[in-house]
Amino acid sequence: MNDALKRLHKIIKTFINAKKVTTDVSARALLNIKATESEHPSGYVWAIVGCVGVTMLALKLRDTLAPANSILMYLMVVVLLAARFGRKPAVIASILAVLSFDFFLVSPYFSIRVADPQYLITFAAMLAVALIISHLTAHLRQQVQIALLRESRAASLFNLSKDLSAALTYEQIAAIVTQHIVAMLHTKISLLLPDKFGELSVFTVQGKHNIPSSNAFLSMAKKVYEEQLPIGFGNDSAQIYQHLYVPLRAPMRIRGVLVVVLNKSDQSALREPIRLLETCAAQIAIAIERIHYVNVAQSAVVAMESERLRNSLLSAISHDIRTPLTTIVGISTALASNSISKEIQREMMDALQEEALRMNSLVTNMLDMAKLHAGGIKLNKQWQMLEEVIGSALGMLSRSLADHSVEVHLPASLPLLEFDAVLLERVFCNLLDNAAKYTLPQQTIWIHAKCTDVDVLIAVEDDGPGISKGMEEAIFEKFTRGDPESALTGVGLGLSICRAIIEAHGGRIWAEKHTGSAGDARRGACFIFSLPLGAPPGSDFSLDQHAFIEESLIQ
Amino acid sequence: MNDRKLHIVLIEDDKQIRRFLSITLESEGMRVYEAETGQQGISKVKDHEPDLVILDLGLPDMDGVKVIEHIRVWSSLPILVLSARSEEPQKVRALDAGADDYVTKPFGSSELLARIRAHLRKKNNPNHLVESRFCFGDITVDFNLRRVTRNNNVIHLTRIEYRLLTTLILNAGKVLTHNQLLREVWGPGHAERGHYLRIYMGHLRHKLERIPARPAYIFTETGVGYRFVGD
Repeated sequence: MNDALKRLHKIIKTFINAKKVTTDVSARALLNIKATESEHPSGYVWAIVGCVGVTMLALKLRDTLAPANSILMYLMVVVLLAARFGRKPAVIASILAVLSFDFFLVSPYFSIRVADPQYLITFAAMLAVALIISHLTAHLRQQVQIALLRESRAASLFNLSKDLSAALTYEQIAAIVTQHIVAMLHTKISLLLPDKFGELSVFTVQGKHNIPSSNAFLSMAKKVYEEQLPIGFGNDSAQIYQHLYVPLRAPMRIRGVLVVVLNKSDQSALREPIRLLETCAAQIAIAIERIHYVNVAQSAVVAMESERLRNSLLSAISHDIRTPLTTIVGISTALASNSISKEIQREMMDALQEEALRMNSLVTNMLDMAKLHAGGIKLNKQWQMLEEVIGSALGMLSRSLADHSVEVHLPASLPLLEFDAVLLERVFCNLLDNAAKYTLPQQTIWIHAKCTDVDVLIAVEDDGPGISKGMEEAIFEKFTRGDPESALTGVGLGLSICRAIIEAHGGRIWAEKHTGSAGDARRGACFIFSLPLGAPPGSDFSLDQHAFIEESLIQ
Repeated sequence: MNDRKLHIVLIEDDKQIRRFLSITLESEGMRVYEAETGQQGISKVKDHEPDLVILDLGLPDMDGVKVIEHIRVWSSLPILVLSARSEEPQKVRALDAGADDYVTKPFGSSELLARIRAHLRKKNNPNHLVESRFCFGDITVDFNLRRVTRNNNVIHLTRIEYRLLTTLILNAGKVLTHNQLLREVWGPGHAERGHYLRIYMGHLRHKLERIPARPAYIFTETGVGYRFVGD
């Protein structure tokens, strides 16, 4: 009987081994799964419970039930156990089932001996069937689990690549990679990317734990980056290195290094994920490369845009500077000849001066724009009286405003406002200059202000033709004019300078057209800008009060 | 003063501007000594003892402000500075260093001549400082009575406003920087109280100017200071 059993065992073993070879990789991959299952004690409990249950049922029905049915019930328990708890509990159950059957259900009852020797064959067959079934079922279960694991990893990989494809910045990539790989492998990772000088450094994600970087760590990563070969793979090196260094190889070039912490306990567990990691690394590398080229494309667009601006600036300059220059050169050569009357000379000189001044304002605007856009603007903010700046702007423009009437209405309660007086004077100058340019002589320009809870709204309005419909926003663009074919000189910079200045002060500027509501005869252009109120320093009245008491002494 | 030509030292490195200024000034009967660099300028001022110096701040060899400081060590002659727009901090430094006035490039000859005349008149007629009253427009300031009137109606000024007004009048035509005014009116140590100055200047304008938003006497030199023009 023993021989028969041994032979059977051998057959089963070769059968299983044959399977084992093909499923070697996956079996090894599932070391962790197997480990958890073998540690699971409830499987053995269930093996005992199952056998005891079947035995008790069979004992009750011993007289009516044929032994073959009891055997089938035992086998059913084995199948269920193998399916639920894997091989080992099923093997135990198989042995228990044969012993119980022999002890309780085969005469002489409650004895290991058997009266009828042919039952030995039954036992052997029963054990063999039970073992084969348990192996097959457990194997099937293992396959299912492998499939499930692979499916979940495929899903994570899919999610990773899906998220990566939506990433727009390196920060997003780093966050996505950290989130997904940490969830997949339950370990710490670090992403090392080269900076613009090609120097590799850890790309930190806020709120995530990176591997603390040491010099050895960095130099190792640099080695991987330069040689483009992973470190930490294979049995030999895994013991030496604590980290797994995976190069991020993209189609064009290497884009960085992914570092994964190797814990001693799950070194074997990481064997299979290495392939997974390599796949991830490829995905990450492609995403990084994509963003790299997006940035390259963007800077190309920016370069093209600034090229376009430069061209429009050049054409504006060539037109708007040449026109007054032509006049200046023409008049000055004409003046050189002595054949003109005094009266005409006088007239020409006025024209000369006017053209020169016009060119001055043009150049001033362009220089201001250049300065504002070079980022070189430094606000000299101080607490100022609005009235004072309006006064100085009106003073500066007294020439061009000579034919217009300007009405200034400021509420007496207007607080001090914090701004750069020189720049705000530019804003008023540009707005008033526009108003003077686009309205007829004798028309009126209004300046008024009103306080809201958070800011002061200042409006410069005129009586002129107003702004063409749909141009209210466009006129603030550089080199854009309400009427491009206007005979009036200008390059369309004044308002964009105003916008740059007001926005630097934390305010807004916009244009409106008068609605012509009842009681409001005005219909021209209306430019409104806001300045934040802030907290004027006048609130510390110590000096004021002191001054006030002292002052009351006079007269 | 007619028996002697007015002497002016012109320190400017740009040849064209120098030429234009020389022609303009000499056609007005002034004698112009030209200097290209700060060093040259300082020695010309020492040699010729001019009535006025015109100084460009952007000189090749030294900072124009340094030139002012050099001259101010031994002379109080009027110094008129030429400077570009948007160089307010430089203007302030020049004025604080002792310059009397500035003209912003580009400028017309009439504007420059008006400024020069104003400073020369003041220099040649220091008596107005000890006069007991000063009139501008329809306003009269009586220094003895410390009283300000418009068409014989008393304008009530507070002590600080009065002090501010007299400081401006004493320096009529000259640009006073915020620092200079604060020091003169409030005393040293109040240099950081620029907004007081603006508030009181606003009060003063409301009391003296017909249209405070379009002042006729007290002008704002934005980013620099104030200038009183009384005539």
